Amino acid sequence: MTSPFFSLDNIDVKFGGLHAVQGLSLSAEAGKIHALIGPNGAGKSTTLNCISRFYTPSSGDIRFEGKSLLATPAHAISGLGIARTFQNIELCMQMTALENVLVGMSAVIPKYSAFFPGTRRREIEAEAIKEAEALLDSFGLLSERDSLAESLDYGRQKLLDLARALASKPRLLLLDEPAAGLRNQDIAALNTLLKQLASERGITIILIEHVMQLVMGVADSITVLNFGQKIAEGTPAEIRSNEDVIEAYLGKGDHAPG
Amino acid sequence: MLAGAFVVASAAIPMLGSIYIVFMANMILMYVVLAIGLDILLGRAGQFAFAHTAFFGIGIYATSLVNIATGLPFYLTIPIGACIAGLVGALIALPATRLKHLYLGLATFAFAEVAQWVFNNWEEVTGGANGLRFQPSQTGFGEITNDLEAYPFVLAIAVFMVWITRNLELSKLGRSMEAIKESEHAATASGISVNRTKAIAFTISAVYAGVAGGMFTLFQSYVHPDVLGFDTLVLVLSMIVIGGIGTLPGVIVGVVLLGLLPEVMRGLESYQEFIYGIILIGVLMFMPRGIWGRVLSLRDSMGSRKPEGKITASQGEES
Repeated sequence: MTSPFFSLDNIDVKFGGLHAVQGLSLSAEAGKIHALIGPNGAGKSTTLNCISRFYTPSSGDIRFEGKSLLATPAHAISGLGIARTFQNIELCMQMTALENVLVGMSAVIPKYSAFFPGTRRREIEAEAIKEAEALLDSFGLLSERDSLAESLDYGRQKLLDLARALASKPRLLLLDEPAAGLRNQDIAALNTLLKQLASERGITIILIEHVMQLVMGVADSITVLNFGQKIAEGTPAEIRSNEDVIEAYLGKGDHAPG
Repeated sequence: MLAGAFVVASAAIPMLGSIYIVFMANMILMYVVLAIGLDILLGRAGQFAFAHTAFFGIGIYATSLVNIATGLPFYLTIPIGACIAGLVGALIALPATRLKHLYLGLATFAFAEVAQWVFNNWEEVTGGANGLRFQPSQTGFGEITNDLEAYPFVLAIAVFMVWITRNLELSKLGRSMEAIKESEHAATASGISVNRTKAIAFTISAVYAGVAGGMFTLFQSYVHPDVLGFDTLVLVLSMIVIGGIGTLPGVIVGVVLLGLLPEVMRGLESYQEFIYGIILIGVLMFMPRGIWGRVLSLRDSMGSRKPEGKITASQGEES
């Protein structure tokens, strides 16, 4: 049996007396979009924080491309090809949009002498800036190149957060509620974008989201958490009709919770 | 161009004739290096650390003692002194990276107090409260015996350090420092080690203070531990805040302004602290980004230039 592209093997996370994640296992196939859904406090963000190594599970293993991530510090994750966005946007607010993308490229910009100028350093920086501009352009943010992140509207900050994450050319992308607070047309655009990232660039995406319109639209598979435990797993169609999930999260109405 | 004008003006200073003006110029150039060094840690990396005068002192004593012991030329003794300051800075960085905000401020301030106590009491080495008399710095061709002879070297060192800072600003390391100030989470997720970057900022900042200490030994003949205390720290902090924290031109403007102030206020010595206070409060109230931040925002509102990022959003929400 070949090892999956990415997997969580029976992880537990405890905060004092709170057992936030209990024996969670899941695996993700390369180039697919996997959604993680469930009510608030179900342990979704905690799981994501484990993968990006902000937290360490008390037991279990996290494996990416055949290797365990448990010995990897959080700042080395980006270099391995894993990037993330944050539920509450984490941008360098007093830096420009371009600078934020350059920060996102930290793991892929080669190390070089920081102090002494030279053509090599100038070349590296010029190349990085060109790449960052192309990325901003693809998000329609090029006109905001020199605007401070804090001066962008909420939707554009979300996009910039995503651009920053993509700047490191990740193979695994962790998204924590990318659609929260977005307008409907922006969610539709996000839907298209995520599908493109997965199908055209082969990026595997783990998506936490409450906006069911997006989840059901893009996910190849869905894992449902409740009180730190996995209660269901399957395709969007299977999840939609799963009685436990309806009971715990989706509700019986036609409208999914927002 | 601005830099060129600065160098030309600086080069012209000895022609003014007065040895006192040259002394002032030496002093101001030394403060430029001292203040830029503190600003790297405070303004760029966002670390509230107040041990700068300790590293300044270590630079002064180390450079001078190496000179006394070996008689090596200053372009060797100053790097040695700066390295020793940097080494101590790196050691302090280890515990300091675990502390934040007020706690970091208190811990580093306590370290500065301890250092001053050591300067005052380690008599065999520092001369204790009697102070330490330097030997003239060696150039390899002779000795530096007065301010005028020291001036070209002091100027060269200051220009070199400003040039290095400019390169730091444009490098990945400079960006990483700013990123950890803005968001440790975003920085970490982007592959920046927060602790490592803090430790590097601490070390670099201490090296700058050490270099400033070495410059001090070039044109001064004597140091007393009293100049390595809280007053000097407050002066350097004021220079940074008034000029424009986190900006290279701003810090230089602040240093020159506060460096010249005692001259402008001759005869008003007894009001000096009071006037400092008024200026500081005025700047904080009306130009929270300092003089340079104000200049940039005026330039932007007058011209049609695009705002130049961090510097121009001069509303000053940032601490």
